[in-house]
Amino acid sequence: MKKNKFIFAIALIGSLLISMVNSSVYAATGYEGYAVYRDGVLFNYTWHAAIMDEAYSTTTTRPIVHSTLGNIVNYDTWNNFLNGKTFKGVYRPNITPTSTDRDLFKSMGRKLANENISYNAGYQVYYNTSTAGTWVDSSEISSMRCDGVVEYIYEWYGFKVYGNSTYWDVTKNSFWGRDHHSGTAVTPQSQAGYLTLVTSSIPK
Amino acid sequence: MFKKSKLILLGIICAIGIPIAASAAIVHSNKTIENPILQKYVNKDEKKVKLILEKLNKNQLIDEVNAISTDLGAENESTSLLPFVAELYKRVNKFENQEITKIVNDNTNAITTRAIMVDLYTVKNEKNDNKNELKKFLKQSIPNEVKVKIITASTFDETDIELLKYLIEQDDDNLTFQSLKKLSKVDSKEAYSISENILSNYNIQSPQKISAAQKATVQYLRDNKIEHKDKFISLCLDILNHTKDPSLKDSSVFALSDLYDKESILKVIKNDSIDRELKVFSIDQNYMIINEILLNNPSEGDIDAVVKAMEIMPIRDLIEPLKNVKENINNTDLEKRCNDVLATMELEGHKGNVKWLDKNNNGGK
Repeated sequence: MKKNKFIFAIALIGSLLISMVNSSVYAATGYEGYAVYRDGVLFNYTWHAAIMDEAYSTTTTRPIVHSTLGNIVNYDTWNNFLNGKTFKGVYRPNITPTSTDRDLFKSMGRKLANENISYNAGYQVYYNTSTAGTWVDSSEISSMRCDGVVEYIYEWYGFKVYGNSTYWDVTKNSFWGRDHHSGTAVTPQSQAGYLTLVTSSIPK
Repeated sequence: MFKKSKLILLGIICAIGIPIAASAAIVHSNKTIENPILQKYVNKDEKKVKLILEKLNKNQLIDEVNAISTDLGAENESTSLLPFVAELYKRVNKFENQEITKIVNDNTNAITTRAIMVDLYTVKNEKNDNKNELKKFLKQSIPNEVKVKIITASTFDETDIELLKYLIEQDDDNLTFQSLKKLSKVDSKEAYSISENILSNYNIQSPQKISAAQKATVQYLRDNKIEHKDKFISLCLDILNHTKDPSLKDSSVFALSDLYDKESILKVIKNDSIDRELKVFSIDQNYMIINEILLNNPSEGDIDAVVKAMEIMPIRDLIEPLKNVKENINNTDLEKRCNDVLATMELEGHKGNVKWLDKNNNGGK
């Protein structure tokens, strides 16, 4: 009887492990969907942010998605992201995302890149409050900052980054909510403080 | 006399030359910072930068933005402008519209400065967009980057249709992309007609034009609740299967997903060449369409596709509808998969993302 129970327990654990392996085989791997930061913006003023589109910095030639000046939200090389500055770490939302959540993060990064959204140095995410819906769809964003890419992606899927209990969700159409995420109220460096450090090493 | 003059000259040289030599010698991260404006910000933290900026008058602030844009902007150091723009926004009401438009139109200013002033104008006039004075520059000779900024930041109406059509013809890149996108919001039928032409010979069109035409077509089909989208769905699949451009592959999947259509989402789920994360995105975006499939007497093939979708992205909201159609399954293998996926949905299913049901997205119909 005891032996049967033992075999049953082993079989149960085995099948659980197999199902865990199976469910993660095709899901986000490595550092996909995590935020990455480096320093050196206006010397020591703040950091620069991007989202990992690939598992590692070496997976493809353009492993990250970010918003840069004079350009649009787009994929870029690891060297362009670093731009000779010091890497500050890989970060995730404070509530641990599942690999499926990270698939969603990554795909939303690709969606933002597909919308050709231009740069905005003042607001994390800028949109017309009169024409956008209750929730600001990616096609309704007129411009965004590098930390806005991270904030928008995580908060569209309900993972809070920066903000008070009323205005934290940057994807909710609101004049004051948009304002809450503007200027120096939040910067790429301070944004990282609202996330959890995964590793301070370059993701490779 | 001569000695005295020499001494005075030496004094003048020292007075002017030493500070210049000293300022030119500032080095940060093994790099010499020659621009005296930039030198002020070396090793300054947020508080110190703020103090410097608060002391500048309007013109000085614009000069600083120009200097930073020219030096650091060229290095792609976009976020460097953050404190300067924050300070500009604080003073938004101290700028007259005419002052802002003058800076936008002045080609001696850096393109970035001009783009920032477009943003400032937009913020200042958000509630008075009918009298947008920036639009007049769209027919003038200003850089396309500034034009794009004006287009994305502005609201257009029926009186702008000809202007937008003119802009669509101006390049094959972002200017066309943004203009066609805006036209589709103002006159989706006209944008659809232009898009049909672009997509009819997509092999010779730029990726930006094709992507914009896909978006404009989606907008038209959704706005007019056109039922038969087969031709467009086939076209997107054709582009997806044949293009080597990764951005166009993505654009085709997003167009199929943005349709919020039964046939379209089924094609995405069943297509093995689509990346997993894009399928996850589409299933999440279309969970209410999948719900409708289950509520409307689905065939076994439809149930098979829904089970496949839930194996990729389990959604709790669909547990009951899926349970209700389980009896229609004859295939034992599918029945087993259905039971397994229902267990997964109970255990680790995501909640449907109601943001997709927004009226503007049309996800909830």
